[in-house]
Amino acid sequence: MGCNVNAYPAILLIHLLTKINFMRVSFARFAFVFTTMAFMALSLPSCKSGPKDEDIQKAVSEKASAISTDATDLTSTVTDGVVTLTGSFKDATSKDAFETTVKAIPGVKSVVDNSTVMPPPPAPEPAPVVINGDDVLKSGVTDATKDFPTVKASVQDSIITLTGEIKKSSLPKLMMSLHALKPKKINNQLTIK
Amino acid sequence: MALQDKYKELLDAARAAGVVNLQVREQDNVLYITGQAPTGDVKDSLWNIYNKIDPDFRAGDLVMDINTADSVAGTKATVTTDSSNLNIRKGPGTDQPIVGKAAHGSTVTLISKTNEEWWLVKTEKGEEGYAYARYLRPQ
Repeated sequence: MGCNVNAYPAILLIHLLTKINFMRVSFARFAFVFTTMAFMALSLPSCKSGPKDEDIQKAVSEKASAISTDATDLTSTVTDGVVTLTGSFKDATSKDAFETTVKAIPGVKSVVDNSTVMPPPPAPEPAPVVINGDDVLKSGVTDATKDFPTVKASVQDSIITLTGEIKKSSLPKLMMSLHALKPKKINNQLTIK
Repeated sequence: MALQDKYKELLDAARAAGVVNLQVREQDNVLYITGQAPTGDVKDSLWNIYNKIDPDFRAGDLVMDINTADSVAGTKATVTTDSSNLNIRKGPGTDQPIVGKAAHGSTVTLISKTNEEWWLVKTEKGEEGYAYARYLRPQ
């Protein structure tokens, strides 16, 4: 602030007391001086020499347009150097960054940040699950079960159904091979020995 | 989402182990997990967790197609049969004629991957043909 607004009432008061004590002024004169002081006190806020709210508003708007891709419905109001922000930002980082930017604008006393952060966009639809048809599966199942003669396997509608017997230690090996064939599902009805 | 909760330990382990292109999808009450594990050990550990959550793979609510990362030509692989020789075949399929054998514990050189099940390899003796990938572990 180029103009010290708090100094004026004090100076006037000292001036007034001096007059009362040493010049023995009349009550009318006292009233006149008092009125003058009150009038000046009322007019003091206009003594500010910092940026006006309109200037701040303009600066905030310029900063806002510079980051227009980061936010939607971004609005700002300025009252006595206090900037109030509304709108929604794409993420917390851009929201915080803008608040910092606004705080750095000359004349801004504080920022009331009522803006929000948009929920993240839904994740893109994952690629559809690849499921092989019965012919591919049957050929793959034949290869996968060849070394396990006690295992019987059938394929229907891309679902592999296992019956028969298998050693517990061999089960993961067989399963790894079958899962890699990209079936829809594996029904394991094997008896584990 | 319930299936992702059931197999959460498995999914967390896959992410922590650096499985690339990890995709987790749920469809018709079956969870599909695909991706490439950096090593055969990682794949084995994921299968161990699967076996722990769903003992003996009975539930039929998961299809886990985790292969080992695409090995480049020239990669060496160990033959991991139980004890017998590994058949080297003329083409990718058990109906194909056997053109060679790779001994248990021997090393073969990867030439190319026809698919996840059949790899074209060259044995220590110089025989070229297709071997079933279940019995090959990239070194």
